[in-house]
Amino acid sequence: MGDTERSLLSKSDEPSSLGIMNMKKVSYICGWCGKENEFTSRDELNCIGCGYRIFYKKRLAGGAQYEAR
Amino acid sequence: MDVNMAQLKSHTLENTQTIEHPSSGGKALSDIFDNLTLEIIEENPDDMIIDIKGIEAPLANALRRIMISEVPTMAIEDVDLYQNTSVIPDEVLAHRLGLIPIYAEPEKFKYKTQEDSHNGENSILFKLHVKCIRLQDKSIQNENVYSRDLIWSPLPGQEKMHIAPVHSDILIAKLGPGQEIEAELWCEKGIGATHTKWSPVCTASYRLMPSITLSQILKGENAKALKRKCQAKVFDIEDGKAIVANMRDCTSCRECLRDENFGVVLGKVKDHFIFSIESTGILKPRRILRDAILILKKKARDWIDIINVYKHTPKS
Ligand code: SF4
Ligand SMILES: [Zn+2]
Repeated sequence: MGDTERSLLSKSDEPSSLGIMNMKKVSYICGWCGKENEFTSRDELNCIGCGYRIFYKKRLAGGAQYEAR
Repeated sequence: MDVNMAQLKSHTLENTQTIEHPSSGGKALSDIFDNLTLEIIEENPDDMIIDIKGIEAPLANALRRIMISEVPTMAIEDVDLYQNTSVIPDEVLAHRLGLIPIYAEPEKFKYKTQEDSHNGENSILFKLHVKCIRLQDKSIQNENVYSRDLIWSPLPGQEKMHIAPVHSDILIAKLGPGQEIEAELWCEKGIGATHTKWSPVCTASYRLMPSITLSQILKGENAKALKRKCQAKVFDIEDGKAIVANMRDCTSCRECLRDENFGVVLGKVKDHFIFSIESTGILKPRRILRDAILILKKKARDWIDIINVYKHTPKS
């Protein structure tokens, strides 16, 4: 196991960083009204705008290239 | 019966072989070209009907196939998608975009090879950015994405060109509130053989000129019955006698053959081709025909070169 890998592992094993991850806000798109919602892992999944409970992940920045065929 | 005429019988076609088969010891190809006539019957901005007389099916078919698959145009090839939250999947959206006819002069562009990057000589850039929103009064804006939403952004060297989608009202996608499509679209030059999106025609087809003769004079009730029988309104009555009025409109349905008492003789003129060229709107039909003829000519020249090389190669 290389040095870098070990250091990555030891970092994520620390309980403090796990805690931070739980509180980290991630935004999703409401499947009904399209509003962006931010959740932590403890929040209930309800849209602030309309209460809908299905959400979509946001697309990665940078885009993707497709062939128009 | 004329050798030049294929005969339509109630269940068969007779005398269908072409006159100028090489084994028939006929004329040289140059004779055919000397006697060929081309006549424009109807010409509209998007379609045209022409009569070509004195050619053979192989030549007519070559022309048709070249029009469909070898006359170059510009079409969207690469789609850089930055955002697509619509219900339509990325690949399907890219495919739909590719099929939009783009009005641009193909002769001003070069083919892009794999090594080339996009530049003003081989590409056209369009930008598409539409976001659907619900307004304060609950109405919805930008529900539909149309081809008019493609915004052309000129690359260096393209300032004087006029480029846009041919039709402004092609529906690309439907959006719900909050959904968004953002993309950069790169058009490239290509031919229909690679992908149909580059084909300049909706379809190019030909049929043979029908030939209808009445073997006897029909009068009175008989003439009226014959006129009524034909749904294409080919027959008419003049001075109480049945005549063939609109030969060209015959669909060869053979309805008039069912009653043998009419004495109708149906046929097809084997060297008279009625071409129908329907353009997608990028090129004028007349231009498509011209390009196709030039491409056919170039192919013939290439063949002469190949034959000459073969001739001068010593046999081993
Ligand atoms: S074949 Fe059909 S369309 Fe042609 S003349 Fe006869 S009835 Fe009319
Ligand atoms: Zn919502």
